[in-house]
Amino acid sequence: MILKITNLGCGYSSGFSLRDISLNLNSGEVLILKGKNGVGKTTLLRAIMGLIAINVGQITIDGTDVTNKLDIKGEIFSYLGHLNGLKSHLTVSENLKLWFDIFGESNSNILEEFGISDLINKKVSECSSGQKRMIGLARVFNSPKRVLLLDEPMVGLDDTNKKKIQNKIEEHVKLGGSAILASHGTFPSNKTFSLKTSTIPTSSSLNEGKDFVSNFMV
Amino acid sequence: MIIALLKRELFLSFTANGTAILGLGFFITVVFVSALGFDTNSTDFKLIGPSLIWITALLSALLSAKNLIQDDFRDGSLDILLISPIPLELILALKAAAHWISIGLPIIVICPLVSIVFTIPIDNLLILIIGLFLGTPALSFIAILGASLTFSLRRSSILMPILIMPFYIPTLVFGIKIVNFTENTNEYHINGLLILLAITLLSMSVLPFAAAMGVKSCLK
Repeated sequence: MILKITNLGCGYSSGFSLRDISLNLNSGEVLILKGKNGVGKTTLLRAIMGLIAINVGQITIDGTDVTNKLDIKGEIFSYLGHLNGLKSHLTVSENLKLWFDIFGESNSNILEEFGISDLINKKVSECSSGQKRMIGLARVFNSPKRVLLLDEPMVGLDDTNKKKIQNKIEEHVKLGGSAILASHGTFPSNKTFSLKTSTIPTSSSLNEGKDFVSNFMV
Repeated sequence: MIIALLKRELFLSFTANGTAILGLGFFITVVFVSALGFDTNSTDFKLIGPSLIWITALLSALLSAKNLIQDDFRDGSLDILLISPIPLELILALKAAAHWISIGLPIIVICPLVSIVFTIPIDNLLILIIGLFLGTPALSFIAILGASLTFSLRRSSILMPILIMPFYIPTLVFGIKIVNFTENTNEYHINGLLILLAITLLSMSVLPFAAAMGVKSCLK
């Protein structure tokens, strides 16, 4: 499987935008998105996932154009953003069951694997931020799709849990999957993609004064 | 999956969010408290009842509409719903359906009890209940449109009622008029109910698509 992003451009109505993003991702690869806070790592992940519209450029998977096709992408990508998608007044098991039912997934032994099975009857509001992150990741890794899109997956996790998630990602990649992670931390990976800000030249009347993001591959 | 999503929305409404209890509690309280302000011996009292029930049903629907999408947006659930296999239009339609089941349906069920206060004649009560049954789904589908346009705003609770109240007027006017028609004939009643049904069917078929566009626009 090859994920190919060509000259991707997207942005928010507030003015922030990404431009000329091009990258490739093969099966068995992990790509780390690097860059300062606010540079657009989350925006890029959301654009790849299809949660914000892509204005220019193209995303293809095995040659098939999936740009702005959220329905197709949902079958290929597993996504976890900054927020974990958990209802604080429900228990952990209620939260996960609601998601597993909607996605038509059966409950694997992911909670045991992550060592959080003792939390199942606990309300999410009573869990720590690290535990909430692990629950969010448990949703993703219960039945992972071919490409994982994870936004700062290790935030709030202790070293043991970081190792568990790292192992889980490596396991996924060994099975032919791939992953794109936005992360400030260290992660052994094949590829790094750095984003950096610059300013559009003032001669560009349309986008004058707005930030955009250029990029380079390492 | 579709049933699972409907179950999720109903579960959140009836248990976790307390939307259903809040809506019904608001309805009963407002109707009874308002009734205290009128002269029960007045001949107008019987006419006021259906109007008051309809207006309170509308406000109950409005009261809980803010959280239809905003809660999911704030905890990240909306992103996960967007990447689910269920189309966004259907997600929003199911949210509206769950809103009606948790707000509109309990109001219809409790309506005969509430109507005792206003001594509404049995014929009028029947028309009122049928009218609520046909008309209140439109209130929920209009609410989902309002929620879709305001979920990302901080002051959505102020903006949303202003935005969607005009859309409630046709349902409200026909809902009240069919009970209080001066010419109390079957033809008037049936025509009025058919108009309510038409408004609801139009809302159900058009508004989920408009709301989906609203959600996508707000995420930009």
